[in-house]
Amino acid sequence: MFFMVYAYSAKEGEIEDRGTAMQEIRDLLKKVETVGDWWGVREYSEKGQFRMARNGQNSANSTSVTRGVMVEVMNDGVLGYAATSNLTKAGIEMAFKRASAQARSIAKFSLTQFDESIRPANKGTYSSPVERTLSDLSPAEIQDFLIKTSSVLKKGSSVIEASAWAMLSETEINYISSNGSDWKQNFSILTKDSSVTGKKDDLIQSRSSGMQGLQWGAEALSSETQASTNEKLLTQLDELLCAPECPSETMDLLLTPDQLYLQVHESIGHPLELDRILGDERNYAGWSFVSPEDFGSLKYGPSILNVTYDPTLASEMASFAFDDNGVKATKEHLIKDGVLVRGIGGIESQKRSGIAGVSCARATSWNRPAIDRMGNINIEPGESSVTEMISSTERGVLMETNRSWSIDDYRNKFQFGCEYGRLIENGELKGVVRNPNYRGATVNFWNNLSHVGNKDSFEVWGSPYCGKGEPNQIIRVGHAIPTCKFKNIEVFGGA
Amino acid sequence: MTTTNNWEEIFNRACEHSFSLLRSDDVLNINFSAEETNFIRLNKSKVRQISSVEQASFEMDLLCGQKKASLSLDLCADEGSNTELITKHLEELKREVDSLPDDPFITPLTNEGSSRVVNDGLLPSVDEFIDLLGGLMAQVDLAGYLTSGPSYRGSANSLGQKHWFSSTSFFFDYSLYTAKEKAIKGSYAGSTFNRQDFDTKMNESIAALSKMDSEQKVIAPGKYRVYLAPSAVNEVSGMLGWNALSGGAYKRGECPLAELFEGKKKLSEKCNIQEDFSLGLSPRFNDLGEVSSEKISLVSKGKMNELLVSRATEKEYGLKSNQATEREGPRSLSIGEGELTRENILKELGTGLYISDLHYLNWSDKQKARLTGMTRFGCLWVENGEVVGPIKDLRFDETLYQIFGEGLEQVTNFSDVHMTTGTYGNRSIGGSRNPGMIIENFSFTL
Repeated sequence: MFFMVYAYSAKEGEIEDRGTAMQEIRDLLKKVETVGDWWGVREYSEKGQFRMARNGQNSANSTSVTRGVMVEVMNDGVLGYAATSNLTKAGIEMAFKRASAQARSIAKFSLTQFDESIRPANKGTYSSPVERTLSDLSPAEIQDFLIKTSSVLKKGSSVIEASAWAMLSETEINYISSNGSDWKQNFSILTKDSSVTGKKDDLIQSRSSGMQGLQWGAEALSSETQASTNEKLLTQLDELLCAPECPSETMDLLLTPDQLYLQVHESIGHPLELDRILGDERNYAGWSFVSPEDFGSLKYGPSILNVTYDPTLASEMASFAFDDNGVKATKEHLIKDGVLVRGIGGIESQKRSGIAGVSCARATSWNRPAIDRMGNINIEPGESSVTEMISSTERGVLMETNRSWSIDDYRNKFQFGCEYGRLIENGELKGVVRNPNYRGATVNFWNNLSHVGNKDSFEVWGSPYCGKGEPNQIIRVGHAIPTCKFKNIEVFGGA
Repeated sequence: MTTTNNWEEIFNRACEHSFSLLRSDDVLNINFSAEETNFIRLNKSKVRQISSVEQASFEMDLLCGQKKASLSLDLCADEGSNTELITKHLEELKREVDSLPDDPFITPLTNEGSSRVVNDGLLPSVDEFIDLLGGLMAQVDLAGYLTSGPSYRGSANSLGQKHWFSSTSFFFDYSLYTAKEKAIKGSYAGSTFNRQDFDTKMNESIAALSKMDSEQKVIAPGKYRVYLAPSAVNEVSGMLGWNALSGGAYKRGECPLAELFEGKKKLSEKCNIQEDFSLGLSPRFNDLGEVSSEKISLVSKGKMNELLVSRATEKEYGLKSNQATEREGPRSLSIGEGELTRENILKELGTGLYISDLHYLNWSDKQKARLTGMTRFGCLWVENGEVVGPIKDLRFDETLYQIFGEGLEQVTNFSDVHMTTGTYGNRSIGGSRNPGMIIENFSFTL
C-alpha cells in the first residue's frame, strides 16, 4: 500500500454549532462555574468493536461505548487534571474543582511551570479518509467475513487452529479552552489479523498476516484481498513445518515492513521521545541512550536513512490535524540524511528541554492526561528494489512478520523474532527457515543499514498497542516503511 | 481520593434496570468495575503530573440460546444518565444478538451464589503526600507514581448471582537514581498509609542505592550463576500468564509449557506453583461469577498437576474447568518457598550476578518455553560472596526448563508479595507471591 495524500483540512475561524455531543458540554459550560487562570476541556467518545471467529465458527463479539471529559485547569502556571464520565452540570463542576485544587496542592513541588502558550488556540476539524463508514458494516457482516476467513484457513491439512479478528473504532475528540481553542477530530480505524497454527509430528509453527491497523472504513474487509492472504498463509505454514531451524551466524539481514515497523518503533521511536530523555518514564517504560547533546550531531545511520514524523499520510493510524494539546500537526524530519535532528516531544517537553519536537502530546482516552507519544514514525522510501537487495547479498536471511520483541530500558540492546525466514545465498532466495531471530544494539544496527527500499516495497503499518506512561496508557501508532537491508547482523534460530 | 459515590448502590440499580429490560429467553451476565483514583506522577522528586479519575465500567454479556454479544458502557454517579444509556444500548445489543450466528462453545450461565467482600483502608491525602515529598527532594533523585483510592468490582447475572468486592488501597511505585544513572526499584503498597512505614521504606531504598555507586562492571555474554531476587522472579512468573498455564492455549498449540503438561519434561523438585486466593490480592470469582477453590496446585515438585481451564475451554476441549477466567491466566500466583536464608544469599551465590529486577520479557521460542529480557534495576556483580559493584545491563535468553528446572539450585525461605501496579484503562487488581532463587548456567547473550 502506498498513500501520500493530505488527509485533513484545518479550517480557521468560528466553528458553527455542530449539534454534536460536544454541544451538550458547551451548553453545560455556560452554566458551570469554571475556575483557574486557564482551562481546557477535552471530550473523548468512542465506539469500539472486537469481533473474532475461530476455526470457521463465531467466537467473540464485544462492543465498548465510552464517553467522558478531561478537565485541565492551570493555576499560577501549574496544571491539574480531573477526568469524569459524569457529564452533568454537577459532574463537570466537580471535575473543575478537583483539577483546580490539585494544581494548587502541588504548586510548591511542581516540576514544571508553564503559561497558556502550551495550549495554543487553534480551530479546525479532521476526519479519517474512508470510502465507506464503519457503521455501514453490521455485526453479522463482520462476523460472516471472519467466519469465512477462519473456515478457509482451517481447511489446511496441518492446521490445528485458525482464527481471524477485527477491531473497529469510531472516535470523536472535541477540545475547547478558555483561550479560544475549538476543534474536533473524527477517526475511523480498523485493525485486523488472521492466523494459522499447524502441527507436523512434534513440530508446531504459526503464520499470520500480521496485525494491521489503518484509518480506513468498511472497505478494509475485502474478500478478494483476504483470499490471497489465506492462500499465502497456508502455503507458508506448510513450508515452515518442513523447514530447518534458522542458522546461527553473523550475516546480512533483509527485513520486510511487517517486521521493520516494530524495529523502527522500538529502536528509533521510543528513544527519541523527549519525556524519556527528560526522565519522566524512568520508573516504567525507561530512559533513553539519546542525550540532549545528540540532537544535531548523532549519526544514527548512514545518509540513506531519513526518518519522519508524519501526521499527514492519509490512512496511516496516527494521522491527525491536532495533538491533544491542540498543537497543529505537521510533517518533520527526525533523522535527516542519517543525522538525528529532532525529538518526539510535544510542546511541554520542547519548552522543558529546549529541543525541537513535534505535535505529539496524546492521551489514550478521556481518563488520562496527554503525554509525549509516537504518532506516525516513518522511513522515507529510498532507491533500492528488493531484487537489488537480494542480488547484492552473498549470504543472508530475509525475515517477515514480527512474533517476538524485547529491548532494554535505554532502547539499546534488542532482540526480535519473526514468523518466516528465507535464506539468501549468492544473490538468490533459497529455502525457508523456521524460528528466525536476530539481535543487536541500536546505533550500531542502524549504521549497518546498506539499502533502503524504494516506493515499490513501501507499506503502511500500524498498531493500536503502544504502552507507556504512569498512569499507563496505550496509544495507536503508525509506521510506513520500505523493505531494508542491514549488513553483518547476529542471526539465530530456535532453542 | 476519598469516595464520593455509593458505587455498590449504583451497581445494584444498574443491574436491576438491565434485568428489567430482558426478554423471556435472554440471560444477562454483568461485570462492573469502578474507581476514584488520584495519580501523582513524579520525576526528580517533584510532581510532573497530577490527575484524578472517577470512572465506572458496566459490561454486559447478553446470551440468547447459543448466541452471545457483549457491551461495555461508562456509568457515572447520575442514575438518570445511567438508565438512559443502558436502555438505549441494551436494545441495540438485543438486535445484535439476534443477528449473529450461533457460538457452539457458549456455556449456559448459572447462579453461583453471592458474596460481599469490603476491604477498607486509610489513604494519604494529596496534601499529606505532597508534604512528604518536601523531605525527599533534598535527599535523592526519584521517579515514579502514587496511585491511591477506592476501587470496586461487581459481578451479577439475571439468574440471581451477585458478588461484590471493594478495596481501598494505594501503591507508590518508584525508583531511585545515582548521579551515574544506576538505579534501584522500590514500592510501598497497602490499604493503610503510615508515615513511619513510608520513611522506613524510603530509608531502606536509599541505603540500597548506595551499593550502586561503585564503578560499573561490564560482564561479557555467557553462562553465569545468578540470584534472582523475588522482584526478578516476579517478572519471570509473570510470563506464566502469557499462555504458559492455559488449557485452551495448550489445545491450540500455543502453550509454552506443553511438554511439561504432557510429562515429557520436568521442572526442579524445588519448584512449586499454585493459585492462592488466600493472599487476598484478587476476588475468587471470575468473569462469570464462578468461585474458584482457594488454592489450586498447578506445579508440585516440578510436575504439572493441572492447567487453568475456563468453562468455555471445558466445553470445547473436554478439559475439566477449575473456574479460571476466560484468559486462563493466574490471578493470584504463589511460588513455593525453599530453605535459603536471607543472610546466606551472597555466600551461596559465591561468584555471579545478583539480579533485583528484569525488564521487557517476551517468548523468544514459545514452543520451547525460551524467553528473553533484560537486567534492569539493582543488578550487581558478586565475587566470593562479596558485592563488587553494579553491572552494565545484560540481555538474557533462557528457557523456563533451565530457570525453574535443571538450573534451579536453591529457593529462599521467604517471599515477597507483588501487587499488580497496572493502570491501563483502569486499576488492575491481583498480584503474585515470589521467593528468590539461585540458578546455575543462566544464559546471557548481549
